[in-house]
Amino acid sequence: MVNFKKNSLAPISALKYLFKKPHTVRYPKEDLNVFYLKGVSPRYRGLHTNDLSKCIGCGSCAKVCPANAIMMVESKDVKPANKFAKTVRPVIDYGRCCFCGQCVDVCPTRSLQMSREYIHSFHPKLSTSSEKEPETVVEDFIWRPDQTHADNPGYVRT
Amino acid sequence: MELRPLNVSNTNDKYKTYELFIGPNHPGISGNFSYVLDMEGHKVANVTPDPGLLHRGFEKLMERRLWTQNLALIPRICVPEPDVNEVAYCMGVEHLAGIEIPKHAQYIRVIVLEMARIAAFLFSFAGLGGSTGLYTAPNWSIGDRDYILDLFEWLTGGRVYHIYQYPGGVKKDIPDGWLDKLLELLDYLESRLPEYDNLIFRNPILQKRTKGVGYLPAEKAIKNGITGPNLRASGIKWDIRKAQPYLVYDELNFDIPITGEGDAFARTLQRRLELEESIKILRQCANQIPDGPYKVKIPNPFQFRVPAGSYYSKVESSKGEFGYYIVSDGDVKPYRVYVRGPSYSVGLYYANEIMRGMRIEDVPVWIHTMDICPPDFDR
Amino acid sequence: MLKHVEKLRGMGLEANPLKDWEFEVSVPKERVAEVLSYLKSTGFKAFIHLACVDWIDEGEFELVYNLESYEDALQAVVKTRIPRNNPTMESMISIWGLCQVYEREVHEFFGIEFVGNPNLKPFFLENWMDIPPLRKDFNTLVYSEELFEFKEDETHGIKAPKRIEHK
Repeated sequence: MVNFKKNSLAPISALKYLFKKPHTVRYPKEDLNVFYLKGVSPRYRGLHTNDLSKCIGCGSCAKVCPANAIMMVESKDVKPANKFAKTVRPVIDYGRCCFCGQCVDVCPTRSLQMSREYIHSFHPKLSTSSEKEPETVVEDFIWRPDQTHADNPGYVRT
Repeated sequence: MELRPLNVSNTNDKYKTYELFIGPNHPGISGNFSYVLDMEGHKVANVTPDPGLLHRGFEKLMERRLWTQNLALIPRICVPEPDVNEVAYCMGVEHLAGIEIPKHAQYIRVIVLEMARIAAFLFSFAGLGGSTGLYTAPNWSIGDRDYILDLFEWLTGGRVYHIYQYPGGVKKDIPDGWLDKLLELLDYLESRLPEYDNLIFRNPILQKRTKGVGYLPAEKAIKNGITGPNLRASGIKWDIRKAQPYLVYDELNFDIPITGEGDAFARTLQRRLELEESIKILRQCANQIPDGPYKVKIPNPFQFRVPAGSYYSKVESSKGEFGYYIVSDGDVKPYRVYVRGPSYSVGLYYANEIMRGMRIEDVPVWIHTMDICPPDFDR
Repeated sequence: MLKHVEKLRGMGLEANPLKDWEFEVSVPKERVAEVLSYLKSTGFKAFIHLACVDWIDEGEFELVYNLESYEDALQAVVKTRIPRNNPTMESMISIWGLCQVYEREVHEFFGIEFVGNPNLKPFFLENWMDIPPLRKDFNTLVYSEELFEFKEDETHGIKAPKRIEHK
């Protein structure tokens, strides 16, 4: 039980908090350092990576996506992995994606994975007019994941 | 809702009556929800809860999605404590599908639930601090809550919405070294508890602000469908974890503290005491968790059909009884899912009764000590 | 728990245990108030929820009253079926005052008329003109297509995502 005795030293003992370090991480000067890797969690569900040569284009990820964020788009630059495989590859709309990781869970070849990268920045040209700007933002939010972030894997299917 | 003109002409009257909106965007309420108070001076004369600002139609959305797809959706029903939703839903689906999950997975679920409970209690201390002007309390408790979220991030990959449970177990096993970190964190949290007592519970101003506010006698608590810590603070020894144990709660040794005064202070103290019990449960879990598989295989999501039937699965959350009434007709999608949020009867019905005659400064204190979370009834 | 089940069977009702602490009772519409007040008098003092299920193929609504007994640690699920067209139901606010909000919600989302409930005004929805939204014949997709303008955005030569309905 909580003890309700009064303590006359209480106001003075509060002074010790002046010299404590704050809880907050001063990003980007410091990095989060609680996991065995620097930065976010080793299982972080960040931007996707897709091994385009391993992907068979089955479309399970598009079907299972609860937010309907994945479309299968015909890709000219890939070769089918076997004679049953297709040449369509997932294209993800990051405006819709909720980063739940179900597409990774369902991927039969384990080619679709999630990385620990989460920062996506782009610079619209200064000359873009304010009416055109939303369109450029939309364009930069839909892309086909590839091996760009493959060196930093996060949530992968085990 | 129509606005009434301010009644300003009555110079002879002792008080002017006016309408006061608490919410929808108010730091005193965790979510977009509003109480429209008819005020007479500083006393509340009448209150109209106005839900719907946060209504997202989850129950309808779930009918259009696969059984497993819903798992990405339901954590959003209760924002401060999303894990109870996932666990209650998964338990219901497993009961209907006849899946028995391994012991290891059950222990992981208990660990996740209890960590979420501690996080939610710390969050409620922050709310109380905010509504009484004790702004150190939010700083401390939100800071400490973040250490729990760190561990959640390591375990599940997400900080707030974990999307970690799955019918048949959990999505991933506990990583190496995670349990040691958990024990370290529990030691740290326990060392902080005396300081919380000094800051919050021995603070004379906070005691003045909360003692006697929103007094809730036991029979009224039962009559109004109030569950969880609020019910126990009124003196009724009822905890689903003890009375109708789910998962492995019957193998764990813990007490149910009862404060019994039934006012706002007792409800906060109840949460503080239960936090200690949760730490005890987590220690036991970390020490006695058995080895084994963390999930059983279920069919792929497109073929996962749950046999027809209905089941009400419930979980003791930090706010009360959180239940899912799940109806299946044997299809790949649920036929109907009804969500029973613990704040429903408190926030929408009991508020009408208790708030009449309450002073305006007590209203946020009452809302926070009742731990009303609008997302779970405005679902 | 068995004594409760036996007693309810003695009243001519269909009752069967589901779990160690849970049983369900199927009650005809007219006897719901009687059964609920009987259960309340035997210890089921807490009203947990009122849910509604739309069985469109059978042309019926199912109302599910969930009660809890804190002394005996038991749970009772009381189910009743009412016809789907022109549904009316007796209000239970004389037994539990808090049924008022639950019935108001069911009235809004399923269109069931609760006789005796003083306040069935719109609750969660605002300016709702369509049929009650949680009924099975209400199609969210059709509704939003009628209400909002669909914009085909063509970016990267990709058409907007096609909605995938699982059959």
